[in-house]
Amino acid sequence: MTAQLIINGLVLSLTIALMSAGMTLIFGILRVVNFAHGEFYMFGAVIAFFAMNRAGMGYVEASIVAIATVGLLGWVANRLVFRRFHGKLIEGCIAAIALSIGFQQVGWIIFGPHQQILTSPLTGSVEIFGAIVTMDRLLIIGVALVVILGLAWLIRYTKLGRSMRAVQQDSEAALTLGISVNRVAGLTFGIATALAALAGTLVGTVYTVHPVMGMLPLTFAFIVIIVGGMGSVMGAFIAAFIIGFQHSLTSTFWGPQFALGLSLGVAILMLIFRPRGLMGHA
Amino acid sequence: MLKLMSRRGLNWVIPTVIGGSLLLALPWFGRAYYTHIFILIFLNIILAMSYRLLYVTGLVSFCHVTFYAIGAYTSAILAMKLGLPFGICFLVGGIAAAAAAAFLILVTSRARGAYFFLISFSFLGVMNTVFMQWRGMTGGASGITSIPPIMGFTTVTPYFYIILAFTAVTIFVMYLLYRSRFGSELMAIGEAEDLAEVIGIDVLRHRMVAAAIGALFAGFAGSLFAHYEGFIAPTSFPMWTTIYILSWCVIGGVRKFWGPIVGAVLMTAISEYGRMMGAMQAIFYAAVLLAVIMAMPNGIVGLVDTLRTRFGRRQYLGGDTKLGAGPPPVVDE
Amino acid sequence: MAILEVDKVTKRFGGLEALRDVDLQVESGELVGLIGPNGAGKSTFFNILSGVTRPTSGKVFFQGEDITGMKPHRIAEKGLARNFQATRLFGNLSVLKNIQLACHIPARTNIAGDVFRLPSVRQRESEAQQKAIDIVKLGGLEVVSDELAKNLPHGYQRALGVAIALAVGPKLLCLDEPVTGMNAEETRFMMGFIEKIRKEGITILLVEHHMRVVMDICDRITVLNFGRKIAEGKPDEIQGNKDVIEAYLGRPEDVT
Repeated sequence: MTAQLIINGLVLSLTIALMSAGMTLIFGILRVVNFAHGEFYMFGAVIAFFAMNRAGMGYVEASIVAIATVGLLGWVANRLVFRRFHGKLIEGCIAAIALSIGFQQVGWIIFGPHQQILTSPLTGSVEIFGAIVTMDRLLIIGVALVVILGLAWLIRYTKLGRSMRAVQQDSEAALTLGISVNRVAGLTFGIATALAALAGTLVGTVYTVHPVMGMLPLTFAFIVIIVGGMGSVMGAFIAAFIIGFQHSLTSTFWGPQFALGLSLGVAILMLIFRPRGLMGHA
Repeated sequence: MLKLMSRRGLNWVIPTVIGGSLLLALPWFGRAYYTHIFILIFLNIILAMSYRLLYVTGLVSFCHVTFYAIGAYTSAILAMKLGLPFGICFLVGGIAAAAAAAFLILVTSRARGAYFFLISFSFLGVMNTVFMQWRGMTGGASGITSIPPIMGFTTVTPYFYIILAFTAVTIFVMYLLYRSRFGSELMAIGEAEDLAEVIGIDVLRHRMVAAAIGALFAGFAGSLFAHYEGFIAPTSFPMWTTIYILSWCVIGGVRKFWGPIVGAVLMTAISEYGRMMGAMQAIFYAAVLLAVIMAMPNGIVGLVDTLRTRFGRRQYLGGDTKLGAGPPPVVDE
Repeated sequence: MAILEVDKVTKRFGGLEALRDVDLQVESGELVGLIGPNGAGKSTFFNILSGVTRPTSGKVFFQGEDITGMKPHRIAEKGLARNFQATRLFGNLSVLKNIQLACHIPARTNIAGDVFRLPSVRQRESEAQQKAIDIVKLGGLEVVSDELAKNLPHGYQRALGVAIALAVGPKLLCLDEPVTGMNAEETRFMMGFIEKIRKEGITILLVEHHMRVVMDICDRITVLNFGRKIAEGKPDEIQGNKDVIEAYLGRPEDVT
């Protein structure tokens, strides 16, 4: 039972981490609260589903196609819609909300109301510490962990990562340093949405795929970036684990609705007493 | 009154009288379905107008539907559990919502901008959980049924007039508020909060009052809704509604008095008409919203201003925060 | 009794010390200048005076009353007004409306009376409007009185900023770089405006970079550098002060 809890907690935490890392990057660098992030997640799963079931691709190929497509879609969305709202919070939010409504509807139209599942490439289960753990969950944990570490490496050690951090601190100063703020913004959006799509393709193997599957992850992502500190990727990681495990534990005993309410309560308290979150800037 | 007598005044008196008469006569020559749609439009107008009050002070809330729900639930519970007459339930429903709003503003006074948006979003979620979980009071997911009607009316027509009357009252009160110095001060707070503060405007107090009055009317609307429908549940107040309220204000134009009304009427009509469009309705709605926010940031009513900005004289005052301009806005200690 | 007494005010932001043990006294009716290189802490100082920020330690006394940490609107009620270095105006309102909004002290807004247009409130409103018109004249803004604040040229906007602060009806007016960005003619006008304000008996604390203006009109000058007070005295004393020159230009050795 405990092992099950831990595994579920890990799966939840890591997928939330993928979602919220992207969202917090978008906020930090573009000053946009991406309400449509859940829909990019959903598109990841939906595109992978079609790639597997209509085009006959394997899981890995389908996932790559889905992630690349969604990343591109994110880049385009920034170019066409969000670029004019950089820094304008309310207008950007409303545009994101509009996209969210539209994308969800597109999901309904092309996917239909029946929930489906993505077939995971790994089947069977192993025994860990005396408990049975399914391989598909392990896959999620493994992949998510690797990608998260990769993201951390990207931000810390690569030129792009440095440019991103520079733009987040002060976009005008970054411009004088020769950094193309627009290019960084576009890449950030693309990377963030690709991460969301990855989370979608992973989760789609264990939980169902359907047009509104992005709403709950979106809510979680909000909570996490609030608690972790808006704009801080490290904060998002830490908060993702806190919230993920909290949710797993609480929902086992008191149901998912209550667990969500509790997380939201934590978010409110954080916003009242420490608005910058765990690791946000003062 | 003297203004009405002028040339310009006379120009809109006649259409108003004709339109008003048509409106008043609607229940007699329209189907009950249309009367019902108009009731929804009236309620939405109240929601949009009451939302704008806090919006103009620069606080974009995400939980206006929650105040609507608090009013509805409070009113229904008082009627069902304590058998109180509608009038009392109505008043207490509004007051409960107003108190919640004032408290929310007070408690979040240290947060600004993006943070308030998120706090209100969380508040919406928390209250939704409360409505779902507190089965003893709220009936949980199944909600409350058989809510007593207003003054025993069981057909749609009386409700049409009652809610229309209350909508008119709401519009009138809002008119008085915006015309007053208090209203100007609210708009000043939205324009330049720190300037307002140093010229002696108590920003926190003003915002609390604005939030309370806004929530009061939302709560009243909620009570009317509950006793009209006879049934409420958490699904009656989805998160989408709060997004819609925001979008009505944006589409109609938040800068001008009539903006939210235009937005509410137009978008409610579109979405009802769009039911016939089936799946495309939501996409159409989203497209309209996106088009408006991109091309007409001042909304429909503010179109003149937008055009003047685009093609008219230049402005000298900029002011939007720049891309990634350091840490998000946080009040200092 | 000094109208303003600042007592060992210190302000730290995280690890950064913006102000350190700053003392300042301003007598009623004076025009005191506050100068210093960029980053010396002048804006922070103003923010503390007007209540926008709390000091980490130290006290501020206005007319004998401790106003340290009071909220900005209460400090405005007490009679301390300021303008902003970065132009802050109610952009979408007219010039007259901008000024009128500030003309409401000493009475607090009585919301109910306001909304329902009680006679007492209407009386106050017409008085406020008259006062606003007077200040528009004083500030030379009649020409643009009905123009939206955001459409004004820079010079007029700065004048409006000062006019708004004046409309509060202060005993002490804190001006933050009123002539920055102005050409010679506008600067002359602003100096005249400030003189007129002074004749009304209002005490003025002036932050400015324009040395000629400062030396010409100030009775006394205080100099800040790196958050500390490094000199204080009459304009000619300050002009010759070694520390002040060093603060602005660096040491002679550094130049070679």
